[in-house]
Amino acid sequence: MKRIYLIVIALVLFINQQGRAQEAGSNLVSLQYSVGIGLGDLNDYIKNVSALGILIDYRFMATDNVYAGVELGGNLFYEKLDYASHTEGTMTLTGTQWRYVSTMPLLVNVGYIFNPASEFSPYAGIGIGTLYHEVELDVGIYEFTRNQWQFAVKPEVGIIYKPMPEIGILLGAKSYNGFKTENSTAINYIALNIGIVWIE
Amino acid sequence: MKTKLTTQLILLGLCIMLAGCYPYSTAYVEELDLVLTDYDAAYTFKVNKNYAMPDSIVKVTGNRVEGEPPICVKEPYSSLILNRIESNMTALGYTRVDDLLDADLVLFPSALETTYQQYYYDYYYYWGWYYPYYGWYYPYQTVTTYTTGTLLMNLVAAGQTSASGNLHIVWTGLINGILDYYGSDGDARLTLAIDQSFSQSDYLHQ
Repeated sequence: MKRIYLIVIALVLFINQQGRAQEAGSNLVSLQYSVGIGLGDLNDYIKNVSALGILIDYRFMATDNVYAGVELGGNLFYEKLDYASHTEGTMTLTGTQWRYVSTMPLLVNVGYIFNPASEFSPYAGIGIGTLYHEVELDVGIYEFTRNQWQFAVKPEVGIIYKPMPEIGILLGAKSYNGFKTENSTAINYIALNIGIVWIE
Repeated sequence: MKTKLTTQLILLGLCIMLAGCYPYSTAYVEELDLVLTDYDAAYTFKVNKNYAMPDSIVKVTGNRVEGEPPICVKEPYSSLILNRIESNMTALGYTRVDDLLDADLVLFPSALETTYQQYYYDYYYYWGWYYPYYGWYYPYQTVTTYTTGTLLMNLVAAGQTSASGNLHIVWTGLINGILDYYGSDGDARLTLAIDQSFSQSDYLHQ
């Protein structure tokens, strides 16, 4: 996760911010705080909602309404199970468990912004790309780690509120849908994001 | 220019704040205790209720000299462990016998200690204003040492050995944890772990 934060810092701090209205040819860069809600196998493994998430999103306005861009982010899901038992075949293991799943979506996005000239601009989009994830189980003094890349699809909706021409506030919901691989189950979760948007 | 600097500082602060929140902590040494059990699903426990058990617990050291007696776990831990095993076996419906010929099963407890060392290298620097404390320094090394204790309980079917002479182990209970000589209540941890190893093995019931 720390690597993600460093990348985010590097990307954001080096972007030159000169205010400009949102229109064809403009760039939107946003830094978002993300809350993740696990679904499916991820939810079976970790019930807790992830309150640790961050995401950077870049959008280029191809027209006044249509954008294309990329996003890079990360959510950390974790849960502590006190002296829990886990049975696999004839074997039963009991101990305090720390379970972690950290996700890092890296996606290419396209979408449509409604009413781009308005103060409130709803948008809808879809992204495809890869979802890197690392699953860690700590029990006793032992640590078991597995990581994997998955193909992922992500529809999203949201709204951008622009109190100023060059600054906006974003509220969005994304549904990350990873695809099961031979060595890992599918990682699926919903992310609720709030962030700041710089428009140049 | 002022806005740009402010937003950059806000971003930097936000990232540092989030990066510092990585949740990972073990508050108590007993949180590292674990119990592992396994059994032979083909073995019928219900008809074999007499078991024998040694009066001492062999300590596996890996450097025993041939011909010398094995090192055993000292008192009061030895009695604590053996009594707890016996009370759990009794509660499950087993009867301890003294004569090996009367035993359907033999329970062999053994123990071992393992010491781990972790090396951690890091660089530190003092980019300061006070001569001569500036610049990068050589890496320093931190060594952490901890010792784990393992209690192994093997329940063996009496008189059943393979052609190669291996014993037929029908149940295994393994307890592992950090040996903490000062802080936690070791007796309570040990008792809890032994009880847990039997309570999670329902199939042992007579």
